Amino acid sequence: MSNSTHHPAAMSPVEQRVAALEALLTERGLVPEGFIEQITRRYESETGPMNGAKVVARAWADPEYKMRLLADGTAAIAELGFGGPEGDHMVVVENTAAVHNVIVCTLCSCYPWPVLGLPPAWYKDPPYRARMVREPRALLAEMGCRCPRRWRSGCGTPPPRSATSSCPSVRPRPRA
Amino acid sequence: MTVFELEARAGGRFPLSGPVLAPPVVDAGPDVGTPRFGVGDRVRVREWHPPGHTRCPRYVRGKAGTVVRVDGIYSVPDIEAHGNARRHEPTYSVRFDAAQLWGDGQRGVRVHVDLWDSYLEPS
Amino acid sequence: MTTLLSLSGLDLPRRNGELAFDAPWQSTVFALAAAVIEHAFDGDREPFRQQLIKAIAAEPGRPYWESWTAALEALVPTLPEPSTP
Repeated sequence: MSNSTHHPAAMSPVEQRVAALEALLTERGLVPEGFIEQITRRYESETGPMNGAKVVARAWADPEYKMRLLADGTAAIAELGFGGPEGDHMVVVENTAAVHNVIVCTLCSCYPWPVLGLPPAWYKDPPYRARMVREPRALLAEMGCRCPRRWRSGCGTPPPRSATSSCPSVRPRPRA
Repeated sequence: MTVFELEARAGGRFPLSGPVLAPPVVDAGPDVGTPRFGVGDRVRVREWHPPGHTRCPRYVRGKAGTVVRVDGIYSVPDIEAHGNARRHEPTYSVRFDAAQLWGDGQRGVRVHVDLWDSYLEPS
Repeated sequence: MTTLLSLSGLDLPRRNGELAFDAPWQSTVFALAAAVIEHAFDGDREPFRQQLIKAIAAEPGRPYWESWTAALEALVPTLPEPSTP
């Protein structure tokens, strides 16, 4: 068990509920030995934005890879060895001098785990999910991104289904 | 596995989510294999408000937009959430002008929403 | 770059300035959902996703991982009974 204490009385209500779930599901044979530790390790330290950074860096350096990435995000990202849950259907959009893109999951928290890891708390918060659709420029400014009036801002929701993930925008490197 | 087993182990009530309000779907109709719309088509989101689960946001109901991407064929959540029936349909990314959604004069802002085929009609 | 942060006796990795999980019960319930998806639903994420959407809609102000827990609890009674060997 990965909880710090096993005694029910010392646990908070939600910890008790999770402990009950773990016991039941383990008895049902649905949780193999070491599975929880493996998943925890994967999403705490092995998956994260460093993966997405490699994809973006490759797109900056290799124009043909960038074309493939924009045409078929799933396949291009898989070329670098990234894929898996929440990465079955990746769409990559590009920020340009004229367009700034933002991704929102308005219903839950769909996020491209294979390239960005688990979403940060603000991404899952109701205010972000509502305001980014309703007033993206104002919210972006609060988050430190001022969009010039000439920029078009595209707010997108992830594509449907488990395959659902949008990859963050690829920003072209400014030419020296 | 029952609620009682969970409650017995946790030593308290399990506050499960409330019952679904929509009637169960028994006959979902046939799968749709061919997209009715293509990139560039003007579409309008059907104006109806289902009582139960849906993936169509209220703020695009009745609004017109442009198809910018045709995605894969997936199970319609409005049906899947309400029983064992299933219907699979094409999905689209549809682009709306924020000014038309909110009427607040936002310029240069577009909202892209991913929608199932049956949510849409020609505009 | 990983920095280990001591928090109530637990050492939790930090990436890009934010912890993936604030407490072990969160990573546990996350992994339990992954286990159910993989081993009871053959990798189909949609049944759990729908419960998560409902749980968040039912209580938008509830902390995220508590909604995740509620979603898994709602999913559990729908699991097929195991066939006895």
